[in-house]
Amino acid sequence: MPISIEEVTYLYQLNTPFERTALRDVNVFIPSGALVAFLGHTGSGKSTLVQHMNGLLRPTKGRVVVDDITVRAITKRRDKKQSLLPLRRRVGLVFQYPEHQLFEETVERDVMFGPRNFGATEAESKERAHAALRLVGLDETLWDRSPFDLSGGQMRRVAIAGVLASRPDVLVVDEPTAGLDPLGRQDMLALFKRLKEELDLTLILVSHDMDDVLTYAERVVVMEQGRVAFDGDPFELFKDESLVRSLQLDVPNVLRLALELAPAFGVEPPSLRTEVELADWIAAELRKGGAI
Amino acid sequence: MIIGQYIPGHSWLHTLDARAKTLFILGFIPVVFLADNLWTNVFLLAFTLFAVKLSQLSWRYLWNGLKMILFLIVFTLLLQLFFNREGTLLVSLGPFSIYSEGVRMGLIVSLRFFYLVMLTTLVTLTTTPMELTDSIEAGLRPLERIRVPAHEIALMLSISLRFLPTLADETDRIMKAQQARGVDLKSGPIKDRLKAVVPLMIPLFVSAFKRAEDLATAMEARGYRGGEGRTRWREMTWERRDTGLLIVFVCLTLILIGLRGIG
Repeated sequence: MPISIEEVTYLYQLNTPFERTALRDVNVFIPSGALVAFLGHTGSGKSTLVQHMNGLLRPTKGRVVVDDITVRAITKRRDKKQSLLPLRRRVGLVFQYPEHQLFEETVERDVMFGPRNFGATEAESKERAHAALRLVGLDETLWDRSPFDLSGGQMRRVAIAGVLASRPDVLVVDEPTAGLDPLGRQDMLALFKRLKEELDLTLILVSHDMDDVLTYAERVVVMEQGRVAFDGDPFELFKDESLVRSLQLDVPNVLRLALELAPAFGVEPPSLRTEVELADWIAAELRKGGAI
Repeated sequence: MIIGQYIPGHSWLHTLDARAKTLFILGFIPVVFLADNLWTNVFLLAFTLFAVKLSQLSWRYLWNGLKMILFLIVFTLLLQLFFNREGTLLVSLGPFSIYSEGVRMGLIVSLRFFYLVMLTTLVTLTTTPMELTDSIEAGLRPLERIRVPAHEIALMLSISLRFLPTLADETDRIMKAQQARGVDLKSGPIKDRLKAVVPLMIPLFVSAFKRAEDLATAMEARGYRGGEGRTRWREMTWERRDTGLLIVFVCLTLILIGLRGIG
């Protein structure tokens, strides 16, 4: 399901002394099935932008078109009455620290909450909840427990299942690895990559981690002070050190090591995205040089 | 609603000591009842508008923020207009009749209400919450002799004020997260909307309790042991202008008493 952000401007706390522009004339088109990362510092507007994708925020100016649904600023009665439920079902949003949204007595009931709201029957909701819990790999023995008895990582999985259970076509995840250890981060990102492929989702990843973006995203949109500062291939962005510095980003660790080693090996820096690729490349170069 | 908010600035009202401003408002509450004729009201209205001018806040912002309260003020006015049956009959329209005393009392009561709300709002808009609680602590200190826990009360107040914005952010986030899961807070029958509060309140309580526990641990870890012998980072200083404000208050009271005698 394609998402088109057209000339979107958004102001926080309109008509108060605290009025602040969060987005200025943003244009982004995301085709169906894409895996796009939004990268930027705190306050760059990336979270604000993704909240427009399921109508949680409405643009102050401009419009957001998702498939056949258009969301614009409220100017007419018709806009005010527009039901955004169909949009919210199709675009699932996993917030930062999603475990904070849990509230039900059991894990199963919490995951059923979404489908119930979107009009599924009790039986359908249960079935969808079970499917979602299996997708995130939560052990069946935990389904009857209170979500508050689980570990932090398990709670996060339950919350993600709670979004998946509504069967969205687009999944937006805002900083899914916040507060996780390195291994937990890798697991979490691998989970989303797998979900995207198994469920044929459009995946939108909000992040401030350069390595995650380079490894997982096919395309990166860099936000800076409410504007789109770069839109393209992550590798194209990160290999250009002066561009990276002008956007106040960092070169991902994998790429930095490759760039530093390349002169020593006497070769052009390769286009690497993952740690595994980096390790393979180093091994290959060493073998060529006869070191191993 | 803007009462209780704080807007940073450098106006004369901002620089006043919080204790002076709190004292002024406390004193102003009984004094406002002195206004009971034309001239006292003209004087107080001018005084209030002058105070707004001094605060350097935008009129539009105040107007937008006080609209809700304005409704209440108009409501009081109407109540007096239609139900006060003293004085001479002015207009009679079917079941409604308006008496002269109704008009007079209506205007006076709603104006008094207006002065109080306006000046209280100005105080909170120009005083940081921390300064306000410090001034409350200062005010309660004499009561410590009769075992009123002044420091604890002030600490509770300042912690609540400190966490209000945090809780507001949290509420916003959780509300959005549940809306993303299909909760509809804006339409549907009241019963459904009330039910929609549960998925909001439970996560909010859970995180508030967790936060309270963390805060208590953090305070103990840094050696907090109550107010005894505690020094302050922000010392409040009483300047000439603060005494000035109290003198203004005394003059205001005397002028009002004087104006009551005229008309």
